[in-house]
Amino acid sequence: MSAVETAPRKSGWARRWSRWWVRSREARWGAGLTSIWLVGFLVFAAVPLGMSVYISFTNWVPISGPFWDAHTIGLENYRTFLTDHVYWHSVFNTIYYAVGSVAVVNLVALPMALLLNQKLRGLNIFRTIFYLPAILPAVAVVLVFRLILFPGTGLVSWVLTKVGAQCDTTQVTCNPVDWLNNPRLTMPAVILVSAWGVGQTLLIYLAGLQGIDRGLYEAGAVDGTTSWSKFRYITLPLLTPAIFFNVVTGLIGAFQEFTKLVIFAGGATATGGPRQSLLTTFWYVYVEGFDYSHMGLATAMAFGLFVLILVFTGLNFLGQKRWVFYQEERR
Amino acid sequence: MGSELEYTPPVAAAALPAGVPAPPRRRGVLPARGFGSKLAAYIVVVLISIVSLFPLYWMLENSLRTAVDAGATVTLVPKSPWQWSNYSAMWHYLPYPMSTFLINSFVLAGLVTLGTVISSALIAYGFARFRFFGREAFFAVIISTMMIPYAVMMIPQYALFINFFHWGSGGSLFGYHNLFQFLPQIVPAFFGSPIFIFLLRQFIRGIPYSLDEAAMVDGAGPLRIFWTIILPELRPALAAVMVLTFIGKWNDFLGPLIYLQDPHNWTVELALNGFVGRYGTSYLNLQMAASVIAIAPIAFIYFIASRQIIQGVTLSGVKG
Repeated sequence: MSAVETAPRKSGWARRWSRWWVRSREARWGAGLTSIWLVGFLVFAAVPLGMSVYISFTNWVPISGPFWDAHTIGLENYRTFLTDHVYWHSVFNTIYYAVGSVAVVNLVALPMALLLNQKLRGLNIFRTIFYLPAILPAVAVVLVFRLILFPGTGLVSWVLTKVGAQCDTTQVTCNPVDWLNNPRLTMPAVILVSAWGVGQTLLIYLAGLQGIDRGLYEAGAVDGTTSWSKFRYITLPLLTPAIFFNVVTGLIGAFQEFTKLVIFAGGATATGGPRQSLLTTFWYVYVEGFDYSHMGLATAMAFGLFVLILVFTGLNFLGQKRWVFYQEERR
Repeated sequence: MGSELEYTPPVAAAALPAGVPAPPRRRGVLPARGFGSKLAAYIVVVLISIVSLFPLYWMLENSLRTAVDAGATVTLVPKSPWQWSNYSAMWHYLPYPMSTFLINSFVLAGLVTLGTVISSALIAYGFARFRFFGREAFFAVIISTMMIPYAVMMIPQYALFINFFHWGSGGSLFGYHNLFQFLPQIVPAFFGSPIFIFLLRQFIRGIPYSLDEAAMVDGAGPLRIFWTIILPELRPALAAVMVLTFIGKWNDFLGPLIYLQDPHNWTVELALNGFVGRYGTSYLNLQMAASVIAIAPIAFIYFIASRQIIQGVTLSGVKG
């Protein structure tokens, strides 16, 4: 403000500058406050992203010094992982887990949301209970599921034996299904465990359902709709944006799931679980980088995963036009 | 939250012109006609509730068994005497007592929460209340950075923190060593989180601008307006952000796994991981007791603030 008072004594340039200084006050505050994020982004995201491109061309091993002293070895890392069959196995596991868990979670969450959207008394209590599993620490959650699925003596085995499942006679204890050690069953087991945490997806669907205009159902009722056609021609089309959101964000998250797979396999020291049946690309990146210290190779593999995520997200957005129905904005 | 779910009565049959059939009584989306189907819906909902809560009960139940019994037999109530001593035994089963790991988790999650709330609120205030060139584009950039997968950031960030900042070791205080290992997770939190910037911006936009103007007439500057007008109005949203950030960091496993190499710095999640790695499938009762300890603070917070949490999640789509 003092700049304005002293302005008349200044030259033309200084006057213009001080006028600009006063007028731009709002813009300066806005840019200043929002640049907090920009500084953090540049330092903790943009710079590392640039570095990662360089690191992926080196054979950096953290213990032997900083990454800028490591030798550059060209595209060697990329050649190594692209010809590594374990990598492609991990890509398969990644897609298996991501598509499987997103499908199961959404198929569980949507009917649950429809059920909760009924005029049920105590909706808030049920919603609170249903959401609870989603916010509990994944490590502890997976540990208790390991106990429940424990071969032979776990609850699930017990139930299966009671309903007449055949025991595996090669085992000491009666062991109908070995969820923890059979490489064909570990991944379905983790997918089922992840289905226990549907709360997140459920809340999005519930919000979507509550946003549907009641008048549409009334219009439908006049036309004599059945409940199925109500669901098929009113609810489902209007819910497609929510489905799309859940699928896209769910896939991006599931491609990078780490905790559940690691703990289910028996802790961070168990590399990949039985016959690496739980080794996803994200975990493989972690193992190469932090267990074997092959940082360059791990970074290159991370770019491979990035491409996979981009392809899936891109396909989702391309396919969106075919099935996602956006209502016209009314306001 | 109940108000959006209120049942709007259908048009009264008498009000309709003759010849138009009265619309059937509208219920929910699924067939729920009459008492029987309503009862069926309740039964299903209660069954799902049991499935949701049972693993927690099972955890608690097994934590009170003997080492031989844990996971070995199926009884719905642990055999007496209940082994409360499991909790004191578990407390000292790792190189450091569980209290150390709890304190580490609390301090880490607390500082991350503090940083995220302060910075996100200030940045959101900048976006909501000040016009400047390129504001909308800048905001879109912030939102789009959420799409960058952590996989590609994991190793270069490690390189940044270890090689440039030397945060891999060092820093002693209060008998702790290698305190710098906490910094890679705490410092970035002080530069805002995109999803919470988005959420808080929406909330600040909802606060009448006339309040700001009134304060401006009184000669208040932007920071004073933020402190005296915006923050009090923003309290419910801030509570949601705080709780979600705290829970998210408490539950985090990967970040601590990468940076907290010193066992004295372990969080509760890392302690659980260490427990499994060390004892495998033995001492399942102690493992469950430790899991109960890890879950208890989150369950307690959820018990108090479930409303804010659910609202926050619904509005932002963030994962808690």
